[in-house]
Amino acid sequence: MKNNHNIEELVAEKDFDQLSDTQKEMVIKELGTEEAYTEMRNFVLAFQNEDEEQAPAEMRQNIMDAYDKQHKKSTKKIIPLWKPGKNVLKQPLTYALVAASVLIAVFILLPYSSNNIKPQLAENKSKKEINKEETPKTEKKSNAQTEALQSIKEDTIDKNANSLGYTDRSKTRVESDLLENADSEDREMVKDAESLSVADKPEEINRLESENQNIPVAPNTMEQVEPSADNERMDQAVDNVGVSAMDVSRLSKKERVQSSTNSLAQEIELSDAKSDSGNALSFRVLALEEDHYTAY
Amino acid sequence: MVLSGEGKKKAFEEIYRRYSGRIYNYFLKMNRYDEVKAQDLTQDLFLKIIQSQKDFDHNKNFKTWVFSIANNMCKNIYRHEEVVKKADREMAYTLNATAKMETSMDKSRFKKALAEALNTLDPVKKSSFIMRYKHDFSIKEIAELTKASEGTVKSRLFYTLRQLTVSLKEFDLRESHEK
Repeated sequence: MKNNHNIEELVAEKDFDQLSDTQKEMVIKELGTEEAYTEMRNFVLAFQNEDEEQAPAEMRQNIMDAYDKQHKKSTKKIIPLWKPGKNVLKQPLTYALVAASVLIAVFILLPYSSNNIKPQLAENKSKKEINKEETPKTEKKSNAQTEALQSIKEDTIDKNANSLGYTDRSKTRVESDLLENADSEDREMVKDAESLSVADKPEEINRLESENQNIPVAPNTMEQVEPSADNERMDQAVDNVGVSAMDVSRLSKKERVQSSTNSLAQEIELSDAKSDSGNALSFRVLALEEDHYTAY
Repeated sequence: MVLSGEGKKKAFEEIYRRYSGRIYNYFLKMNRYDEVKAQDLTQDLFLKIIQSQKDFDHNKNFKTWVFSIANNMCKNIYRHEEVVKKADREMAYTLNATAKMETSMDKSRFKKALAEALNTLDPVKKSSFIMRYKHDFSIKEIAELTKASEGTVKSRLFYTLRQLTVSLKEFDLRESHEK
């Protein structure tokens, strides 16, 4: 059905009486009668005036809650790292950041991954180095001790040979004679002294010292020496002296003691210990001399 | 709408006050006066409004925008209720026959008869009719909403009006609107 005359609009706005003559003609032409128009008009008015249903109150509450929830979410202030809408993957800065982060990660993680081997190598190296560094010292020590013992021997032999009237040629015999004449205890003590290393066998020294408690060693001489900065050297020298003193005691002869103390003094002078340590040792040696003399 | 989008609750409450009744009644009429369904649809519509406040084009008419959403929602419902619709048509004829027997004008009965008569209509015609005569939409606005030409809308409205008038002819409608 064609409707070129806007009857649907006229029905909503005007009664039939309010229509113009042209409109009335058009309406009658389209609908047939005035009553048809009036019925249509009444229906539209009844429809428009129909009582409206009120929206339920619970529905309002639900909708408002939803609004509050949505609004709370939207109030969160988020600072974007880049402008929204731009394609991040097309930004060269993105690639630069990714590359930088990868490099940083590599530089941070690589040392940790190789650390499992390197520390061990470092430890091994350090131990080797320590051994290398320690070896010459101990060698020096043992050399100094052997030299000291050798010099003691030689001096003792010389003096005994002189006292006995031996010539230089027969000096070699003195040593053997001495060794032959010496009792078994003395021999053992000499052997001990030869094999003794102060740095390596402190317990052995203690043992020997306890065995020779009858030999007076000036106990207060060390107390007179104040601890100096060169403690290490002093200790070393004292140790050397301790060994030499025991050697001397083991000779258990007046001449031996005298000669050994002389040689000890020489040894001390030869050693690295200087000034304080040297003084301390000289004190001790003097004390030894006096004690031995008084003993005899 | 702008203020509501910015989070001002009072603005949203004003929107609700103006449109909740209209939309609820629109859904009622479009869904055989099913109150539960109308309520659900109204809530869904307002949720859509809340969620898409920022997307709203402020150059457009808010009322048209809201009813276009409502119309689309009804379309979706009708698509899934073709079988029910046929059953309703059969029922409408029965009710219409019963109404014919009644001579006295009863508001509630008219309402029921109107609902059933509306249910016999095609959804597009029904929504156009409701929007035009209940919510004062212009022909142009209805044409935009239904994506049809103005001439088509006019023809639809005229046809629907004649059909409904015939269906409810037995009621003395003059008394009702004169009261």
